[in-house]
Order: sequence, then C-alpha cells, then structure tokens
Amino acid sequence: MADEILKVRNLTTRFFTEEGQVNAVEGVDFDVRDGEVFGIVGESGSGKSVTALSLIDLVETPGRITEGEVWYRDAELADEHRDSHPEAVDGDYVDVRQLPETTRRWLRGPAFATIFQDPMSSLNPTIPVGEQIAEAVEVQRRARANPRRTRSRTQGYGLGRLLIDSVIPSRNYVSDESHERAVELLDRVGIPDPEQRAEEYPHEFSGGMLQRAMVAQALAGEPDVLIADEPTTALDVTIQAQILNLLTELQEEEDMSVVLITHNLGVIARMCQRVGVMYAGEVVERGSLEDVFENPVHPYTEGLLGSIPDLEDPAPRLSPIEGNVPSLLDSEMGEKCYFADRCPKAMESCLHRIDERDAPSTLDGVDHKVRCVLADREYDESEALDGATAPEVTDD
Amino acid sequence: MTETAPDNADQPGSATDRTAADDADALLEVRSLRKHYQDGGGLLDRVLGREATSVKAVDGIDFDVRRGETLGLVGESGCGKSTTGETLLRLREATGGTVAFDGEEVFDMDDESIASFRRRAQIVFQDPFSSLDPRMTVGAIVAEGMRIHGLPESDPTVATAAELSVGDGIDRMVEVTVADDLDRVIDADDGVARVPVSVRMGEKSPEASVDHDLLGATVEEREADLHVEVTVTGSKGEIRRAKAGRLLERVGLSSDQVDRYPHEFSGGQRQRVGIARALALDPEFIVLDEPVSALDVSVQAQVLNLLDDLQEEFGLTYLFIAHDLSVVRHICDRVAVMYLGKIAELGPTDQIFENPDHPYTKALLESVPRAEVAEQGRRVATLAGDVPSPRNPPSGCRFRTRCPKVIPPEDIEIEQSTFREVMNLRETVEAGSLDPEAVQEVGAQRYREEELPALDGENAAVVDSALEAVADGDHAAAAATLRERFETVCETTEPDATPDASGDVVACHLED
Ligand code: SF4
Ligand code: SF4
Repeated sequence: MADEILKVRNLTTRFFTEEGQVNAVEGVDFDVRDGEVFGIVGESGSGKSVTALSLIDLVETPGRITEGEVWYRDAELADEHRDSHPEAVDGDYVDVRQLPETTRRWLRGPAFATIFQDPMSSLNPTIPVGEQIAEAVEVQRRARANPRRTRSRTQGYGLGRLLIDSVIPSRNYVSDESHERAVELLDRVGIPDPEQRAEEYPHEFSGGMLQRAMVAQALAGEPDVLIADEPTTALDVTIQAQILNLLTELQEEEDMSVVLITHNLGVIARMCQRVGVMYAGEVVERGSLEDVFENPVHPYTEGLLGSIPDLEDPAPRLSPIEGNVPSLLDSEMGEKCYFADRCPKAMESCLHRIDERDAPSTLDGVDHKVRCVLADREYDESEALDGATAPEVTDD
Repeated sequence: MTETAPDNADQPGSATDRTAADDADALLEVRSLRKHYQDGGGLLDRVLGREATSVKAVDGIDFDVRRGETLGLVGESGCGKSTTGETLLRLREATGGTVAFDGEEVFDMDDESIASFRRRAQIVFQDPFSSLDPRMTVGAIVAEGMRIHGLPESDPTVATAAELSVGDGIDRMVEVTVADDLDRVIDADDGVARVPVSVRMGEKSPEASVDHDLLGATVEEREADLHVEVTVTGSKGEIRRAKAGRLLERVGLSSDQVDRYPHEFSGGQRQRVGIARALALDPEFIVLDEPVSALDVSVQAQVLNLLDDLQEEFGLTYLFIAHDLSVVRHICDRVAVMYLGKIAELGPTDQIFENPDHPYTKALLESVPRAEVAEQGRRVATLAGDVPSPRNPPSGCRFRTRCPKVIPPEDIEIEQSTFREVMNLRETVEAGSLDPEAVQEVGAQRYREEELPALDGENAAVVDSALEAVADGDHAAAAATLRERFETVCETTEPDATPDASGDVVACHLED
C-alpha cells in the first residue's frame, strides 16, 4: 500500500530582502510515501534547498513560510491535538505548521532528521564526534520522556553557542547508555573502530567519515523521514558511492522515508522511486522516475536531461537550455510561465499562470503532474511566441 | 612495455631523453614531473617538535599533450591534477622533472622565452568569480594580458589590403596605401587583413573614409591621381578595448558589456569572461582547470559547446582538468587518470571508458551514477576506505590499499576477496592501530574467525600467530609475520607508468 508519511501542500516561502520580495518556494505540492526515496532535483536558485528547510521549519529571517501545510502521519499526535488544535488535525495526520511550537520542535528527531552537504553545519568542531552523537541520543531520550523540556546543543550553531559550549562541559548530562548507543550508531554507519573514532574531533575525520558521522547523528532520533540536502555533493565519486549505498541500506533496514535533494540527476536515478523537478521555486514536473526521465513533458525537464553529457555515449554536441535562471524577485516574475523566456516551445497560452495538470503516467498509482500547457495539448508552431526557438536542437 | 621505452621513473635527472619520432605531434611533453610541498614547520609545529613533512602532490608523471587534442586529466580531490596544470605552466615551481613546450624546456626559459610562453599558454580556472578582479571592468580584465604584453602588435606574416569602392564623380586613378600594422585592428582572414575604403566626391575635393572607429583615411592629390592612405588612428588602449569587445562577443556575451563589473554577471557568464581573457593573447594551448564544475548543468552544457567551437576555430590544444567523468568523456580525445600524484592509466577516451584496464579506472567508472532509469537501485561495488595521505603514500602501487585486485603472492592459495581483507588487516597492524584489547577479549583465533571468516589452512595459522603478537602488544612482530607470508608485488614494486609507443599507460602489475 502506498501510504503517505508526508503530504506537502501549497508550501510557499518568501524572503523579504532589501531588493524586494523573493519568491523562493512557490506553492509546492508533493507526497512522500512510506519507505520510499523521493527526489527533488533542480539547479541553483530552483528553491530545492529552501523547500528542505521549510519542511522542518528552519527557514531563517529574512525568509518566512507564508503559506502551506506539511501533513505528517502520526495517529498519536493527531489524537493528542484533535481537541486543542482541530485545524491542525485531519484523520491520522497533523499539519506540522499549525502545531504548537514546542511540539513542532520536538518533532525534529523522531519525525524528521536532516543531513546537509556540509557536515560542519551540524557538527561542533570543539566536541568529540561520539559525544555529539551521544548528545543527540540523549536529547531524543529526554524528549520522549518529556516533550516540553527539550533542548539540543548541537543544532543551530553560532559563536554564542561556541562560547557557552566551551564553558559548560557537556559530559554531565549525557548518560552512559547514550554513549553506548552513539558508538553503536557510528558502527551502524560503517565507521571502523567506532569506539576509538568516537573520541576524535571532527577535523580528524575525512570528508566521507564526517558525512557518515552526520548520518549517525541524524539516526539518533530514529526518524521517520530523513531529509538529505545534497548529501554527497562535496564528496569524490568513489566516496559518494559509499554514502549512497549506506543511505539505501539504512532506508531499507530502518524503514525510513527519505527526501533526497540534489542537482545530480545520476544520484536521483540511482536512489529514487519518484522525483520532483524544481524550477524557479515551483515543482514543474513530478512523477515516477520512469515518467520524468523517459517521458518528460515539461520542456525544462527535457532540457535538463539533454544538458548532461552521457557517460556511455559521447554525443558530439550537447543541447543546452539557452539563457539563464530567471530572477525570483516578485516584482520581476510576472504572470506567465516562469520558464517561458527560455522555453523553445513557448506559445500564446503560456502567458498566464500555469497550474499543475495531469500528464499520462506509465505506472499504476503514481501520478505524473506537470506545470505546463503541454500536459494536455500538443505544441503548435503557429502559436509560437516571438523569440521562442523551434523545438529542434539549437545550434549556435 | 619496458623494452620499448626507457625506464626512468626513478631517475628524474635522466628523464629528458626524448626522440624526435615519438613526439612529432606533441605540443607539450611532460617528463617525471614532481611537485612536493613542505607542510608544517610553522611555529606551532616547532614548539610541538613536529617535523615539516613533504606532501607529494605530484610524484613523477609522464605524458604528452598532442597538437590540437584535448587531453583530460581526471581524478579525485588530492590526486594532483590541478597542481599538475599549474606546475607545468610554471605558476608553481616544480620540484623535479621537465616540461617542454613546442620543443623548448619551460623550466629553463630565459625572460624573453618565458614571456612568449606566457602568451602562448593560458589557463582558465574553476571559480570564475575569484579569478576575476572585482574592481576591474570585464573589458579591462580581458584586455589586461594584452596590456602587460604590450599588445596588440602587428604580425609581420600578415599582409594588409584595401577593398576600394569609388563613388560617382571620381574619374581619376586611385591608389591606396594600407599601413602594415592594420592587423592590430582588423582580424586577418587567410593571412590578409582587409579593410573596406571608399572614396567619393566631397563638397570641394575628394574624400576618403573607412568604416571603423580606430582607423583613418586621408586622401591626397598627386598629379593626375588620387592617393589614399589608411592608417591606424586609435590608441593602443582603444584597440585593446575594441578587441576585448570582439572577444566578449565571440564567447557569447555582448561587446557593449565591456564596462560592466564581474558581479553583474551570472556564473556562466563570468566563466565566459574567463575564457575571453584566456583567448586575448591568441594562445595555442589552454589549461582548463575544472572550467565547468561550478556551473549548473544547463549552463555547463553551453560552456562545453563553446569550448568545442573555440578549439576548432582557433586550432587550440587543451589540457582539460576535471573530476566529472561524464564531462571528460564528452570533451576529451585522450584521458589520463591520476591517483595520489601518479598516472594510473592513460589512453584514448573510448578505450578508457569502454575497456578500462586499471582497477582504479574501473572503480571510478563503476561509481558514477548514470542519469537513466536503468540506474535505479544499482548497488555499486565500492572501494573500501579513503584515499591515503599524500604525505606518506603507500609503497609500490599507490592504489594497493584499496585495490580490489591486489595480487596475492604466487606461492599461496587464497581467494581474491579474502586477500583484500588480509591486506586491510595488515594495514591496521602496520599502522599500529589494531587495539590489542579487542583481540585479547575474544582470543586471536576467534577474532580471526569473525573478521576473516573465509581464511583457512596455513593462511589462517599465520594470521592467528600475528594476532597473538598484537594481543601481546607487539605490532612490529605481527606486521613482520604477516609481511613474510602475504607480501605482494603491489607493495614491493612500483608499476611502470612510462607511456608506451602509442603514448598509453596502464600502471598496474596485472598488465606486466
Ligand atoms: S507552459 Fe509554455 S512556456 Fe512554460 S514550459 Fe510549458 S510550453 Fe514552455
Ligand atoms: S598494481 Fe596491484 S594494487 Fe596496483 S592496481 Fe594493479 S593489482 Fe591493484
């Protein structure tokens, strides 16, 4: 059964900067099913990373989630809040965004955990690795016992924290069991000599080992959903392969769902069952890997796939997408399809906002949704906009 | 292999013997190139009594770059590929070895030769932003090299000519003289720089004009004839600026962007500026150091197509340094795979990608995730562990600590995968990092049965006795016991990395 652990609806995040309002994430919808890896792929500025931060409510000022719901399936939480927060409950699902702050924060760990491109964003350079993971375990342990008095030292890192951390030794409040569990977790993520390595500081770890340590830290809360934002981008390809194997293994054995965010279409292909393609803050196409990679409808998806050189076949010429990523400033975005300026198939009918539409899908039970007029009609040259190139391969 | 090429891997001094025959088409010949860095030795290190160590970033590599080709230099971080590019351009001082550019030793060049070398050999860096001075306009950035080299200079081999058009009312003979240095302003076509000149009747007398901001034409009556003279009127600065504009156009930007600053451009556009800057001195050879790694894929494809076009148009030779194998497959004619400061394999691109011979090349290709549905759920046979430190690289073959094909001694019988595990154990024993307590706790035999379950017979007995030594805290004895039985040619002998007659390398004992 394809049950959804997470249903994201109309998620909208804006940044209110000096230059104006930036529409970083724009009405994003997607589901994450039990035990699947859902991929979000996009280029820089597509909004994929802000989407990740928005899921776990970690968007920092001047950014703010202005709209949308993140429905998370947890029957117990739903029951608990059915009376006090009826608007935040729908059947077995709770809308994380409408839950009280303390509950929301508590959910980071047992519900959602994150890993990022740069392990140093979640690891403190002045504390031994094992201790930090033990702390994460301890935090989760206490959170479970008493959800209201939670605090995590290692999340959100700044100079203030650094000072506090160096003054207040942490050993005091980490139990032996948590230490043992930390070593187990290090072993679990494939770090050799986990006992010894637990005593070492982050700088004594190689890039691949740090990434593993961060995964161990994320596993401390036994999360239902692991959000991995470019987890292998900084790594060499042989190390990337190790980490991808590890993530697959953990996802299967721990029965987690994973939201994998990356710019690398190869990583998406290896890891994901379903995938969403983001462009200019929107999910422009989503569906099964088969539909998106083999029957793409959105010209951006097509262009992206045509841009990457093929390892097996050295095509003499690539077919790049012409032009550059558009501005995300609200004042400059306009009403037309955001891809229209670069789209080789832009037509008259593309000059207004395009909703998500259904496109043909090859797998039963997996929708294929596209934000493009071509979802339910053919390209018609007679309606082509000025400046739009013919859909043939461009050759400058 | 050893019969056809001199074995000079260990003698950098004698590395210069080249024969004219085997490098007839080589623009660049790199021999036994080494670059070591001193690391440590700072104040803190001295206080702590630490000795400066040498980082062997590039440790004896040989290859040619042939005229008109793109040679790829690939490998993971720390393999020495970027250091190689910078060292062979003399941007860093080499520790040893030689580099010949068009037959001339780069490291022995005098000031004059080096100036010419710096014009003919250029580099484009990965990060277009940090390599462009933010306070200079892109026009100034592109023109800077020309300024430093006092360019544009006239090329004596280029002829100049005029295309004359004569207007109504002029019925005399018109003779045109074109300045020899016109090619500083007008690009030559087939060895001739041509300028259209027109002569027509003005109010009183004939007037001559050229449709170019930097040129001027004067007309003079000489007896019955008219004499027109075309000269360069623009200053050197103006000429450079105009050329910068033309270069910007050539790389896909617009010439009226010369007065903009780098921060006004996107990443892809900045990389185009970097390319225009490299082209400004009409080079023959360009080192492209990860030129598209910082770019999004859609923009990356644009830049790769541009590099392809420029190579063809200007007859350029590229050394393309990259870690992305798909990009390398796309753009390179031949590929050298580097690992820990050495070349592991070198050959034509198709051969490297379709029939790789070196176990490292195979592992690298196996690791790349393909952007296709068939990739879904593919489990990759990964390499164990990390790349060792270039401070203390493994003896023999540098890849032996991770190689899945590491060769067992001939006189013992052991499965390949088991031998790999034995070698991993040896590694930890030799590093002294196997915890004696861990062995004591369960006893040597149990420990071996758990860690190396497939080991049997005499092999198992030797490992047991070594583990007993570890349990006693004697790592050295344990290491010696293991070495005596399991020593492999991969650790005792460095594989031959001298290019063969066709320039190919497979530095692996499996090829011996
Ligand atoms: S809606 Fe129109 S402009 Fe937008 S992607 Fe589809 S065809 Fe192109
Ligand atoms: S020489 Fe030995 S260790 Fe090196 S690649 Fe060949 S088989 Fe592997």
